[in-house]
Amino acid sequence: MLKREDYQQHISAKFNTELEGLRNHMLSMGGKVEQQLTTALEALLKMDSGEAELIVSRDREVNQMEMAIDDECATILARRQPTASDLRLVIAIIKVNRDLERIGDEAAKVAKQAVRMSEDAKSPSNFVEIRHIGTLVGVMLRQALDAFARLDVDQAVAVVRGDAEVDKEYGSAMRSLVTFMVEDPRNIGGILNEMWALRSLERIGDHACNIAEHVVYLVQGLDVRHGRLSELGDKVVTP
Amino acid sequence: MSWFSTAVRILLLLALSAALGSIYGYALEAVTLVLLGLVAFWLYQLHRVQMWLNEPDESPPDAYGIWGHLLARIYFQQQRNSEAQAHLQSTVEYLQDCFAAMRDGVVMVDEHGVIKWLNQAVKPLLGLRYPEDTGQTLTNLVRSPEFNHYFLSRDYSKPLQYQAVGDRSRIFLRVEITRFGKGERLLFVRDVSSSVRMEQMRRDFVANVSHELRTPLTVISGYLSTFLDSSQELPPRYVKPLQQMGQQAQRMENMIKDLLWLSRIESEPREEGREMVDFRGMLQELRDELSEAYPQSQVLLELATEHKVHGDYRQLYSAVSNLAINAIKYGREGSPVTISWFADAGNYLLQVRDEGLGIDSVHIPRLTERFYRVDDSRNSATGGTGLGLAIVKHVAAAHGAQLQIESKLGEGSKFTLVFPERG
Repeated sequence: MLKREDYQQHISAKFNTELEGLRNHMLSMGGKVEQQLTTALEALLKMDSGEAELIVSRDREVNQMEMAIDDECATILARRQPTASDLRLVIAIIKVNRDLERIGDEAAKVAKQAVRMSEDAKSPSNFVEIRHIGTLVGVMLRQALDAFARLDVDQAVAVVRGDAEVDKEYGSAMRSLVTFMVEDPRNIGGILNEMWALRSLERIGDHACNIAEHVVYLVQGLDVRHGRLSELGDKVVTP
Repeated sequence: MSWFSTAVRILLLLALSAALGSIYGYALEAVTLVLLGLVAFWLYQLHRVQMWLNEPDESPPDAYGIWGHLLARIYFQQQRNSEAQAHLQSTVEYLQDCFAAMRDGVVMVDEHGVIKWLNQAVKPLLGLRYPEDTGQTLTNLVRSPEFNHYFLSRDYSKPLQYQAVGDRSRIFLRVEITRFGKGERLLFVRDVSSSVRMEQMRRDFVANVSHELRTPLTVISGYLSTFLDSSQELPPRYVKPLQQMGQQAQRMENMIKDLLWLSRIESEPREEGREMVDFRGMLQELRDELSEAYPQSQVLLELATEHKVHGDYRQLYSAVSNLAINAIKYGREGSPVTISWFADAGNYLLQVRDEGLGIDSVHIPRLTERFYRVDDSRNSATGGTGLGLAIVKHVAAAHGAQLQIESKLGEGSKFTLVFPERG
């Protein structure tokens, strides 16, 4: 079982600060991505194309952060040859980093849809589905990052289980959007854009779920990807 | 005192044992025996003291002589320490209770940015837990980029206001940070959503009203100018009133334009869309425009620095042109208006000077309020909107600059925009 204090127990103080710095950088990138998602959703709901273009340009900063963190990980691996929990931390951060960058990309896609949709007439769906799933996914992302910061396996497991609900909501949102298309073919263009945005949000949910799985790996060394959480259910408990 | 008597007592005992022993011819053995007995007794006493010290709540064992004295001293010391500690503890608890009872959120953070303590009110605001989150780095849990930047900048002269992210994005928070001790920091967090929303509503209202007023006004001034174009067909007694109506409609349009511009400046404090603005080029452009609009005026430029300011070109242009137009309007006829751009003591200054009426010092603090009038006749005579200086002030604030006003009645006024070094 990994505790937060473990990172302060290396003989080399420099190594401690390097690992702690890596964690901080990754989490602040997480904060940036959270903000991107929030602003993208807002831009979409308000059909504000100006705000949306800003997000697309800010995605470049997220990409730069990803590269910087990867670089930092490589340096630590090469210089310190970490073992055990330190190694797991670096591996987990490499993976979470990638997921965060993908979330940033998906948020930028949502923003691009917002630009496109701001030119269309108001959608008949009133964006109810987007608002709902967007909120769910935002909470998942926040909880996954919180779990990473706190090394909180219970919360991480809750996030992984929560993804099933997002998938269910996504399915029913798709059905209701199809109904709008059937009702009036003139809606099809707008609704298709909406579906793309929903698709991106659903993907963000999957990536948040991945982050939570990496937290379980980091703390307990158990790989719970690909639905193995239910198999390992009993082992993944905190004392 | 008791040292002396103990030593005397031991010496007497030894002397007695030596005397008794020498009677039977075993003086040395007797002294050794008594010394051994003494050592055993002292060891026993030491053991008792140790046992007692392990049980701090017990009162000390009874002992006489030096031992009793020593134990009493230790006991007294202990009592005093525990009293002082209780006092200290109660003071600390009192202070923590004080913070805990506050409606504002409070977080104590050490010099590395690690959470030490937090109160109940801050938990929902920043999404923190207590006591689990003590020892966590604060910026790992509160990940908002604005907050992060503010917290790490270590410049807490101004409070930070930011919008939370995710499902809490409807909350606006105001954070104030105070330093204490060796780099420890105290954060005060307050939910200001309602006042931010009120402010937003006010701005939206002004912008919407101005926008809605524009349409009917365009119709009115459109018809008025049609009438005035064919003024020879009008009865002569209507011509003058219609001209006046046309002028006032024009003034109203200017006012609405300024109001809309002002609400735009207020609502867009964004960093994006800014560039390095070269004041030299801008002032030359402004002079050309002014000499066309006010051909009788005389505008002098003094460009002493090539420093560029990071900002919004259109906003800065409107601010400087407002200052220049004011100077032309309130300057004495034929007197020059000087615009200078220079460096002074680490700051960059843009100054507009006129030689004219000047302003009484009682008016200066309120001059930048919307529609504030120095005297009522002045606005209508010059056709001003009453919003010029409000625009200047807001542009200055958006660029981190300050507007300074100096004026003497009858001698003229000096309006200075002070841009700090980094700007």
